Amino acid sequence: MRGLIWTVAGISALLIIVLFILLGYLLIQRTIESRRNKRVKQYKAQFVEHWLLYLLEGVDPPEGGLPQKREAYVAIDDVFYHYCFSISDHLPRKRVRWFVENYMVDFYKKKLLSSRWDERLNALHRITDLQLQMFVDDVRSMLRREDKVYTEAEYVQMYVIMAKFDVYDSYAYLQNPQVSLNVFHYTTILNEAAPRIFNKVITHFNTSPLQLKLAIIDVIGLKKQVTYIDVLETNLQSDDEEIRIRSLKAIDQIGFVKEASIYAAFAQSDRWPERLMAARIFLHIPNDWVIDALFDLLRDPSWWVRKRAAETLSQKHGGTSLLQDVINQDTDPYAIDQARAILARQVETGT
Amino acid sequence: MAQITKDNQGKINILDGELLPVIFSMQTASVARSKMTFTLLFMSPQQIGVADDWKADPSTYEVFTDFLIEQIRDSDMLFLFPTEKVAVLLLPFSGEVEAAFAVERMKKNYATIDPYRHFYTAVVEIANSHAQYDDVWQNGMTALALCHSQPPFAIEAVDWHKEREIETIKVSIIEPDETTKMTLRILLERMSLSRFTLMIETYHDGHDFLTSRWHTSGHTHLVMMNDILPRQNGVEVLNELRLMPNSDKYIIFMMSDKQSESNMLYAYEKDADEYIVKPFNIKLLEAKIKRVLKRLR
Repeated sequence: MRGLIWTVAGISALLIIVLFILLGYLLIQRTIESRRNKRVKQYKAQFVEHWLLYLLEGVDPPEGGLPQKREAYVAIDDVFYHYCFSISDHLPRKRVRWFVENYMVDFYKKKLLSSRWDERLNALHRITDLQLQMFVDDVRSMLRREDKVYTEAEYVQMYVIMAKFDVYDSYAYLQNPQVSLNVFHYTTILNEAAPRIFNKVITHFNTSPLQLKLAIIDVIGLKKQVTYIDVLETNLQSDDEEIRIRSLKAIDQIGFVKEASIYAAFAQSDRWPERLMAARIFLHIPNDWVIDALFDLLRDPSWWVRKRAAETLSQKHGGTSLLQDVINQDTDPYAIDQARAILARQVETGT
Repeated sequence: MAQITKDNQGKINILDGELLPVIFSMQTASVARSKMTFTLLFMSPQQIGVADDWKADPSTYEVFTDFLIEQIRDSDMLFLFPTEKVAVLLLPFSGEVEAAFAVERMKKNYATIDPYRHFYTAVVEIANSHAQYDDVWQNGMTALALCHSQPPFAIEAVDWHKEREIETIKVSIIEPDETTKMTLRILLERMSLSRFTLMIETYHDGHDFLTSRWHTSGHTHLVMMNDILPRQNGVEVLNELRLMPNSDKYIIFMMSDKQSESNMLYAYEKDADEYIVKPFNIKLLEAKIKRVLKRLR
């Protein structure tokens, strides 16, 4: 019994010692980190204005401001990032690239080779945000390494870089990615992709994986790329409901239809999201038949469709009197309610 | 006793000359607030070929003033000085250029009444609140006297009161990111503005700004703020400022990294003056600020 007590006491003491060692280690790390942050802050307080003047007007930074220690690199990196996040002017961005090329290449390369994934990911984001094309070869080398596995976020960011800087083999990575990519990943990549890469992706639309197809449709809509309206209208014949709905959404975002007649069928669709999108797209079609279709959609079983149909009617030429006609003449109480709600909102907002 | 006269059309803007100093001081006071200039036209009727002895014809002044009464707009005020044989026309919302057009129009009409009559005009534009009535009167009459050595219908412009006041504009930059905040500050400090001085303050969030009392003075106030802010965000600040009784003094630039139409429309519906999408072009921003300030004049 006594032996057991001693054993428990010994283990407890050992655990306490280990805990103290861990606590000590964490405290030391925390102190080091906070000292580093303090030095970065001090450097920024002293030199940030000089760096901003360098970016804005090309004024040479002072001799003492050129980076020599880690905190200076971190501070300059932070200033460059925040500057480029808010300001789009061409010349300051060129100054950023010139400075990185001359003073900070090793700093970013070291980050790309770091054993910490967050350091690597931050460096990859900086390469994208600051448009540091000089690191493309380093990124390609990372992608070709077979002995190293990166996180999903890193792969996505590396593909972004390849597509953004129009690297010749970037399309292959999109067709056969090293990790499974979802629609959001593909959208992130295509949003940044150079026009040539985007064109190539569209050329191979039919052989692309479904997730990539959906992302292509989304990005066409997000970027309002009216030149690809044919691609979207062709997709309206697809058997895949998701492709049809996303294509309708993208067409609505672009706000232009080429072949008005093909949209009439969507107002009769069994799927309410398609009827909803038809109600939205009818805003961009000037033909008279659209008004009758919208009156029908105003009596739709789905509240969302009725609401959108009423909104579209209100935005048409003479929309207020069209809705007033519904209130006075229609027999459907839901249609009348919806028309009343939109007219009341117009009065409320003074539009 | 000063008089306000109604003409036969019921106009009441024909006033005794004694009232001019009072109206003048009201006008100069409003120049400071409204930034609108006003102009005084000192006019004296003349007769061709009756060199300097036009006083001999007692009807000249009456004919001229009757003509002016016909010509003036409802917003103008005509002050009569029969002793000096001078009429002073106050154009409350016009500068020198508009006044010159008005004189030109009157010249054409007056010449049709009688080819032997004409008038001289001194144009005095008042663009600052420091102008003194006595100086203006003196300068107007001196300029009128100078017209006598010139051909019929001569116009003399007095430039001494045209200098606009330098206006102080308050600027608030409400932005949580230090780099962007300082970039905007440098931009504004280095902007060359001839008629304005900028008093710039920076804030980290909407709450700091709204509790600062910096925004409660009567100055025109340019507010440049991010839509997303800690504590009180940009939309809340926008709403509060627009609910204030003198909200027109605020020129509000909303900055955001969201470029969706709905966000922009929402900001404009809430009465933001500009919606700036980040990243923005700094030269374009500078041009927008200058354009907005120019319109204050």
